[in-house]
Amino acid sequence: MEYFVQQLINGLTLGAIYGLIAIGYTMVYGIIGMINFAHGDVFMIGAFVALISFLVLGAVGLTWVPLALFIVLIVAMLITAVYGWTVERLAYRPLRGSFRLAPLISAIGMSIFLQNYVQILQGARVRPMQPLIQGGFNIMERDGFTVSLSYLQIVIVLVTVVLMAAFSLLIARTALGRAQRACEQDRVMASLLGINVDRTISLTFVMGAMLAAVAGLMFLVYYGVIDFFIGFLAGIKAFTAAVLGGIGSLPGAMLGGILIGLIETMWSAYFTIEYKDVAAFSILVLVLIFRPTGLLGKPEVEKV
Amino acid sequence: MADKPVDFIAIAKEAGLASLVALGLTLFMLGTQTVDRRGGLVLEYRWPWVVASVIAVFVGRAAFAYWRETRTIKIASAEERRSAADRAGARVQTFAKFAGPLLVGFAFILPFLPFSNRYVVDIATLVLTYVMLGWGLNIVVGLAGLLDLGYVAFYAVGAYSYALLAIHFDFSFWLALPLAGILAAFAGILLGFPVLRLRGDYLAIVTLGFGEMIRIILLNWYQFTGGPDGLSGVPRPSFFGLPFKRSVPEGTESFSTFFSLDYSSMHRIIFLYYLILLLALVTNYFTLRVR
Repeated sequence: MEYFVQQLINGLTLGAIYGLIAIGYTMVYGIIGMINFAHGDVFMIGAFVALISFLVLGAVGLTWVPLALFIVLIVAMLITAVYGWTVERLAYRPLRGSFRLAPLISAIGMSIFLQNYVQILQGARVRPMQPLIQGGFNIMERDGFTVSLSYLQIVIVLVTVVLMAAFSLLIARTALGRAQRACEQDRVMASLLGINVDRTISLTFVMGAMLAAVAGLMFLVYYGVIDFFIGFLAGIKAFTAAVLGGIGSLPGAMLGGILIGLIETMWSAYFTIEYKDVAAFSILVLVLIFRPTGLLGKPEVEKV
Repeated sequence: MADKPVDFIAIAKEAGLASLVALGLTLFMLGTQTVDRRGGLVLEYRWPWVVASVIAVFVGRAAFAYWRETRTIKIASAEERRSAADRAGARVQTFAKFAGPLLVGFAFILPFLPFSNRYVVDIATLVLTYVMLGWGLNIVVGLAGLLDLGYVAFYAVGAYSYALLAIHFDFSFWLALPLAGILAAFAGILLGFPVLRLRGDYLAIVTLGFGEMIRIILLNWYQFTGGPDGLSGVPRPSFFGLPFKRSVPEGTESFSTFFSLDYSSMHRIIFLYYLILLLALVTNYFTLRVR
């Protein structure tokens, strides 16, 4: 029981990170109907920018953790947003109106490019970081097994919840969110009604990249090691999460992320840790075959 | 000459924005490098690179904008562009009609040309392997229109089939060659049944997932595949039963003794080259037939 509770806590934390990345996939898919394969690598860029910002702050001498964390969060979000915007501008916008698979292939190319970009510029070896926030609560203890909830896990889940709420409000209440939902429904009609579709799509990528940057920062402080290849697996799992929750749906992405995080953690806790990725992919395949609309998604109506 | 005066301020603004984006992109990733040192990571700075790339982007964007504002050639319409592409395609096809047989002939004499050495033949073998892979992928992606990103998984199935059959059951290369093909075809059927209900990008992502699953299984199933160590001691193919060896046991013959040639390690390389060339041509023949 204690073991289970501990795995539940770990799984929820991991799921929060996946959920944040999954939102980027789901928003982009909702608005232009393409899988942004490079999103996982944008997440990786976010993690690297966060690592470098921490080192810069350390060199400057700023060591008060909450302030440092806040500054790094903002810096990582801004820089990664520039990357998200550039990826869209260079790799996807020129292909809009091209055949359906063209942007997908272009996205795979962008993903490989970003991986190699970071590998060349920052080196191929794993980058470790000192633990930033230590300590936590011991929730329960029995037979010498302690269930602990670290402060870091609380921070991760809290930040995720706050960001989720903020972005849901942004989509539901602001003019930008309204424009996004309009583009999602009918791009031609939206542009006829005076919505700058290109700008809206760019902003969608920027928002997705910002959330990916937050996820990257959390991945960095939670695991303490990153390398240039983390984006691929995290990206494909977050995509699985987005599909599981119903692609195009924001709460679905979060729910899917948490489910994938739980499944992965439980699988490595009770079965084999080597095959945890296989478990996640099997979920992806099963969901796509038996319920392609996901848990919270709407069935797609073929437009005539 | 342009009709209207060039708006240099607008160009400068545009280039300035572009270089601002370049600054955002390069400031952290290019400007700093994390380096492992005793006692943790430290940063090394490379500001000249950042300055150089920002300047390069500014100049490049300004030049592009200037060219765009002053160009006198009118932009071709979609119709014109399409017919131009058609003409270019037709030219390539006529060229291919003449050049194709010539190039195949060149491929056949390549190992005996004066500049050919082991390096050239090795590279040519690799090239032909990729050509075969490309033709196979063209059946799935080009002719059937299914974007299969897990195609390389079958490449792995073929390689591991031969290696495992040869190591554990002493299958010869010639027996394992069709068997590996059949096993990979079975893997394809296994994957095809569930996956072919999907279309478009969903199919792409599921096949990507399958490819990744096969990779993870091959890496982790240590007793069976040797995991990341791989399999060693895979026997080399023979020339229809004649091994490519310098010395063979008494009473048997090797390739060089059978044909009364001096032993050369190139024999095996060249044989492999012709083998893959023939297989590639057979693949080509069949892919042209299925069209």
